[in-house]
Amino acid sequence: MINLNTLLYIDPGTGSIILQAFVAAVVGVIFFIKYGWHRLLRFFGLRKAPHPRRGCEGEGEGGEN
Amino acid sequence: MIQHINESSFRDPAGFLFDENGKLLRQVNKCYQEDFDFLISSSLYDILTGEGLMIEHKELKNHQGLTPDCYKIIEPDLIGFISYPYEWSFSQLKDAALATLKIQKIALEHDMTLKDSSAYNMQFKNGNPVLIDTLSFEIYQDGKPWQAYRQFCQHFLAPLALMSYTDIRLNQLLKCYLDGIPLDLAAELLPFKTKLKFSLLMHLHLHARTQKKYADKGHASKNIQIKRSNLIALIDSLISVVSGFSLKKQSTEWGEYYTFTNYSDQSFSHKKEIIARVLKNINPEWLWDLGANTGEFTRIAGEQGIQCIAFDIDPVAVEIHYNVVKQQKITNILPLIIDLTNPSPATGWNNKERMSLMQRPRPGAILALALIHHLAISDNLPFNKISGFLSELSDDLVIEFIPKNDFQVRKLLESRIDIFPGYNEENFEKEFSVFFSIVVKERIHGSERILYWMKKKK
Repeated sequence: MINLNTLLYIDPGTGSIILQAFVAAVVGVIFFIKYGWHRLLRFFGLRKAPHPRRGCEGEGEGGEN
Repeated sequence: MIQHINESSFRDPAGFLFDENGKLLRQVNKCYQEDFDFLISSSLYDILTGEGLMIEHKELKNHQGLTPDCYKIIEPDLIGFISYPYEWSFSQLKDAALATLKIQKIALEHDMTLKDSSAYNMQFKNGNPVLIDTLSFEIYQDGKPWQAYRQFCQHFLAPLALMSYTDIRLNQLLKCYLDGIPLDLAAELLPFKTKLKFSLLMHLHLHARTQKKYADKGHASKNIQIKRSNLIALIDSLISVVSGFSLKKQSTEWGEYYTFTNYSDQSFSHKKEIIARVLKNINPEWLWDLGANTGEFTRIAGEQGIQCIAFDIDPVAVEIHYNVVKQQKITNILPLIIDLTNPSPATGWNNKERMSLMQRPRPGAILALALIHHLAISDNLPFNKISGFLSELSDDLVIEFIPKNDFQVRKLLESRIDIFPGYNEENFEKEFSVFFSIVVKERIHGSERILYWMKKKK
């Protein structure tokens, strides 16, 4: 059963949602570049540890840290 | 059976808090059943409570609830002393903000999301900020934006930015604006250089602009989707900007002032010894230290295992005190910002949503050290008003009398006419004896000051 979110009781704010989408896209690109660069360096053996940011495609809670 | 719905718990259709014969309970409504069960089955509840980020609760069997749409009744762990964001120092608000973001991030990893991010959902327990609203979560739908983003920016980001870049006292705006500081107001008060910082430009300045622009255009955001990975990047960006806030400029200017103790070593240790001895005799469970400054004497009570709330009017002193408490990992002292001549009023709907200071549970003992001269001279309060007030707060009072020839009092009287002929030891004892009997009276060695232990008359 899909939750239809009838329980959202605070006003998320139209402008806030729009701005959020914009910022999320921008920082998403920035993080992708930073993360991608880090992975590239690891591929070439120039970095050891996984990138500290863990996203849904991330390296998991444990890792080499 | 006496049941009374909590005055601050009425907006969320998922459930509400109520008092039953002195117990605090929470009704979970049927409409929240799926989310609540998911919170438990996804192990998000276990993880958050395990990490000390959320309070635990017990489920009560055989309770019908107050209304027919009751799904479950839970009994949440209690918070010893309720405090509000306008009473917190800069770092307390910052820690509560970071805890909220951490909770949101962990929630997303477990397919849930916070549906609100009010600062009033956080309280301090054993020295750390914890989420007290177990019903704050909803099942995350892929692509859905974070509904609580606006609230987070108003409750946490705006006041922290204002305290950091404009003035430390601006958290008091939270007293007027119970849903957080309006972003357009914050944007106007922040200095221009905050527009040059990417994160503040996005989350505050542009946010304020888009709020205004789309105020009447509700349909515009209906179908907006945000990828989960981008949402997590947004949360990380908020974590980064909040972590970066600091009071560097202000705390170095005032650092020296707070390390100057006004006492000789001999006086200082004698004062501490008297206080420790008297507190052992009183043996209260809870204590309020009024005018606690950076907590030098609160820690004496803390070391005896007493639960302490330490009030001071100066936000820098409370900030320093909180940082000491954190550093020394003290779990039984909570420093707060309170002006005793204008303590927190009851605010919110019907003036009942948020308690006034006087509505909070009273302590077993009060410390009023290096305080009387501020109240009697700077604030023109007659002794009988001060003693009446203190007698309402507690049965046991440890109070320090600072005579007129003391350096601190002479400083207060430097720039004004001395209209206080009654400010002396004899009068002080006479006025306080209306409400209290003096149990112990000792002069502090090497000083003119006198420490009293007074007990309220029945």
